[in-house]
Formats: sequence, C-alpha cells, structure tokens
Amino acid sequence: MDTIHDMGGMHGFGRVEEEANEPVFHADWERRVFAMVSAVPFAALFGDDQFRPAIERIPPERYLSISYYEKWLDALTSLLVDRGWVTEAELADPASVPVAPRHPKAALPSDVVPAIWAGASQSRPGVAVLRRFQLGDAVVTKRQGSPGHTRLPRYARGKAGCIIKAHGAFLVADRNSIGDQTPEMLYTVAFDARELWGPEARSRDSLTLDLWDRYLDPA
Amino acid sequence: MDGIHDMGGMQGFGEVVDEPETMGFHADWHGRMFALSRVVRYSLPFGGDHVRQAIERMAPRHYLRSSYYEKWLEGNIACLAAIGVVSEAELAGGPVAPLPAALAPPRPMAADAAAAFIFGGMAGARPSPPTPPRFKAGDRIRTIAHGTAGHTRLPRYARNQPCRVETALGSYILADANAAGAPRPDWCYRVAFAACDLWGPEAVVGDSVTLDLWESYLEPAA
Amino acid sequence: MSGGHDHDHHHHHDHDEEEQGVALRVKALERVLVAKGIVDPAALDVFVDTYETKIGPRNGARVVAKAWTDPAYKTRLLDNATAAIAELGYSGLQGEHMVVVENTPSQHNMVTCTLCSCYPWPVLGLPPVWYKSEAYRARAVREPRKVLEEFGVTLPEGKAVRVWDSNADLRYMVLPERPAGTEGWSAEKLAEIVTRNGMIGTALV
Repeated sequence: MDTIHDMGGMHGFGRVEEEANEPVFHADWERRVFAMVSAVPFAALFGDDQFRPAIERIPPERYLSISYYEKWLDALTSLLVDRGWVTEAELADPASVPVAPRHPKAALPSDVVPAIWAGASQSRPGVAVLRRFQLGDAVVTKRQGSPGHTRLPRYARGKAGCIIKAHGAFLVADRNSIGDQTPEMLYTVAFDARELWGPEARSRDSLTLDLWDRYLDPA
Repeated sequence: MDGIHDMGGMQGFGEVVDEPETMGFHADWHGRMFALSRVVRYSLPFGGDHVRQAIERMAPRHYLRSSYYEKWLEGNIACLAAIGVVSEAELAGGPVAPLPAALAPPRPMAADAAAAFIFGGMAGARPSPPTPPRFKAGDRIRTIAHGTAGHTRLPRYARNQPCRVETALGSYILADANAAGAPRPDWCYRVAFAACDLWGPEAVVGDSVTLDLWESYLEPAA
Repeated sequence: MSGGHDHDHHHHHDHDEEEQGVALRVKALERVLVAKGIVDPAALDVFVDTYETKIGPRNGARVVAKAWTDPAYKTRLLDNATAAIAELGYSGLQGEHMVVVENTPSQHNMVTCTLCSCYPWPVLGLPPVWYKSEAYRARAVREPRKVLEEFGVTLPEGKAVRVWDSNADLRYMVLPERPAGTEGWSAEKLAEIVTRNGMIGTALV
C-alpha cells in the first residue's frame, strides 16, 4: 500500500527536533497502550505484520495529526473490532462489559519478561529457500508496489543496488500480513545515494535496505 | 519538491464523493479568497508557479487539514509576505505598514478592468528556447529518474518510466525555473505512459495516462 | 477506523472552528491589502459575481452540443480548442491553452491534476470539491475504473481508459459521446443533457 506512512524522501516535514531527557513514556496512557499492544498478541491475535498494515490504514490526515502511540491505539482497536473481539459499543461503555474467565492464551505476569527476552524472530533458519543472488551481485528492485502491505518503499523502486549480505530465510511481511508463512531469502541491498536521489545527493554516500527476494530482479 | 501535494497513485484517501453540479462558492470567504488571489497577481510580481510552490511548502499536516481555498490563502500570504506586502502582525490587527518602496505607488486592478482580465486570460509570451526540440511525436523516450528539492511538475509516479511522445506542444515557460525566480522557456510535449508500466499488474492492459512534460524532464530511451 | 464516529465528531467540530478562523484570516488579508491600496474591493466583487453567474459548466455544455451538431465545428474544436471555444465567446483565465479530447467507442477520457487541481475554468467554471479532493487526485491516475464505478460508470469490455494529468499549462475538457436516441435534437436541447462530470470524464452522457 502506497499510503501516507511511506515517507522516505518526502520533503516538507521540517527539522528533526530532539527532546532533552526524553522519558520512556510521556503519559500514563502511553504505558497502557504499549503494554496492551505487546500483551494482546499472546492470544495469537496478530503480529507485527498485521499490526503495521492496521497503522497504514489510518486515514492520512489523521495519521499526520496523531502521535506515535495514538497510532498504536487506533491500530489495536481497529484490529480488535475488525475481528469481533470487542465492539465500538463496549469501548464507549467499558463498565457494561461482563467479566469473562481469563483467556487461556492471555499473558500471565510471569510470561512477560521471558517473552521480552525471547523475542519474536521471523527467521526460519531450518527452512531451505532459494538463494538467487550472491554477495556483490547487481540487482534492480521491482518497479511497482503491491496492493497490500509491503516493505519495499516507493523511493527504492526501480533502483539498481548491490547485494551486500544474505540473511537466510525470513517470513515475508507482504505474505505474512495475509496469513502466508512461507519464508524467503532476505538480503541487505546497498544503493548509491545518487541512484536514489539524483545529482542532489553526494557521491559515495549510500543507503541500505533489507529486501526479500521477491522485491529483486537481476540487473 | 516531493511534498505531500504529490498525490498521484497514493492510497488510503478513501472514496471520491460526487456533488451536484452548481456554480458559485460554498462559503463567502471562498469567493473572496478566490478573487483576492487573482487580483493581487495583476499588480504584484508573483504568479501561479510561486503560489503553488508556497502551497507545497505548507506543513503536510496543515496541508491535509486545509480546504482548497485555505491552501490558496496560505500560499498567497506566503508570497505576499516574501515581498514585504503583508505581515502576520498586520493580519493580526496590528498597524498597517506602507508598501515597500519598490512596489509603490500601488496600481490596483480597477473594477472595470476585471472582466477584461478574466476573459483575456494570462497567456504570457512564449519565446523559443535557444536549442531546437530534442524529441518529436512518436519518439519512445523515458522520464528522468529523480526529483528536486524545488518546485517541479513531474510527479513522482511518472519518474523513471518509459513513455512515448504524442504531440510536441511548443514552448512554455518551465514551471521549475519560474518558481525559482529565473524563468526560461522549455519545449513541452504531451507524453503517454502505459498504465501497466506505471502500476504493474493491477492496471488494465490498454489503459494509459498522459502528462504534459517539459523537455527538462525527459531523456532518450536507453 | 476504530472509534471513528467519536473522532469524526470532534473532527468536524474542530473543522467548523478552523473554518471560522480561516474566514477571519481571509477578511484580515482583504482588509490589509485594501488598506495598502493593492486591492480595490469592487474588483473582487466582479470576480465573485463572474464565477458565480457567468462562468460555469453550461458554457462547456454549449461547446459540446455544438460539436455534436456541427461536424465542421467539431473538427475545429479537436484541432484548436482554444480558438473554437472562443468562437462561442468563452476564453480567459485557466483556459489560455485548451485541449478537447474526444470519447470514442474504443477510448474513454478522464481529466485530473495530481499536483494541485488545474481545471479549464472558461468552459467548466471552478472545480467541484471532489475534483480537488485528495482521493481524486491520488486515485484517478492509478485506479480510474474504480473511481468511475463510484460515479456509477461501468465501461464496456475492451474500452480503454486514458487519464489526462494536466500539470503544465494546457487545460483539458472531454467531449463525451453523443447518446443514442438524440438524433434531430437541437443544440439547445442537447446542451441540457451534457453534465459537468461528463466533461471531466467521470460520467457518461
């Protein structure tokens, strides 16, 4: 989806403002949103590749008007509502919701710290996948986007680059977002800044992206 | 400039909602703003390319929250402020300063000159560039790959694409150069793109998009 | 989006307040420019009146109807639209360089401007809100057929769509196909059935 989230290379967003002594969270509600988004996936409801598209579907004007954790809150509630786990009426009147027994997959306090340290790797080292490119190979990225979720940004489409690392088999965000967990070879591809941005960029500057096999063609 | 205004092909903006065919403005201030934007160009040294560039420089969030004529308002204020004609303090009700000496005395458009301006249009002189046109109808060419931090009329979606010259349109003032304050003519062409080249398999074979593009945006096919 | 109703509600409320703020800012700008002698408010009145009462899509409808009833005019219109449109008395701002593109059994045309909202004022007046919307600017070039469906237009198999993204100095109007069953109609009667959307290309006539 070529929505507002795909900001790489866009002009007009102004200076990057650094906040002195920035706290981990700026408000209590941010703590709760962060924790809920992290804990709900224990119930196997969704992962990052479902969560990110939900953020990308926030209407552009709203997307630009709200903060980072508000986007999380919008995405979390839209996923829960879309899947019928909660309703808008319940969100509007939480006191009306009867207390149900604990869901068997709901995170227990004792689950959380081990889960944080364990991570949620999308690497699938045991799965044999096609490796079409070797280190140093010249590649060109696909010219077009995808109607759904994708991790190939607009600014890097139809561009020539060079394979500088092969990472092995990883779930493909585009496919995982719609429930297909077939892994694919993931590469790091380096692009000359001038290839991406033209003569306004400095020669010898470069940019790398981690790209799945499906985004690439031989040069 | 690859700003928020460059929307061609972006997703997530929802449905297009039709409205009944009417004339006139949805609010009084729309009409006043529309009229102001035309009248100031009659007597002050900026034009459409400058206002467009100023609109494109609006903060993206503000841009998306603004209606069409609010963008005109902000674009015009930016252009007027740049030549010292209005200030935020004046707009806030502060004392009104005299016009900068270079722009005085004012020569406002008189009411009886407005109709001639409306129906006469603003077609400016169209001198030829110093070099002959590089391309002709039928040529298979491509668009340049890159944008610029300045104003441009080559949208992102149409960059780095194969295309075909349909018509050589003659010389027009290059918007990029005009907005940058150094107007110069450039050859302009009507250029056709296959929708499948632009959008891939989601497009219908045989559909196409045309753009009027200046020669500065075009290069021979590799 | 979740909580959409709630957000929309606040949103519109905010927008109303913003709208009032913008209206006041326009008033302030006019006041300052009049005070400086740059703007004569009576000239503003002429602009508003002209585009509210004299310049609108009925002008274009008369151009289309004449092209449907006068083959020599249609030839001139497709060859040099600016001059042919001026024959009917229509000219001026944002129509200095006009092009008319003809719908045919094999091609449907649709006009947009992705970068701002360029539009042929002398024949169609000022653009409707939907033409200026982000949705139309974003989608017309990429999924014209879906946009057409939202306007109730389904094109027959095999008819190509061409989108004209008018970002330079030329302005475009669509010459719709003349509907069957209108043989013998006068130009005046034909003009009545020509719609604004038909001349932008988001409707058939």
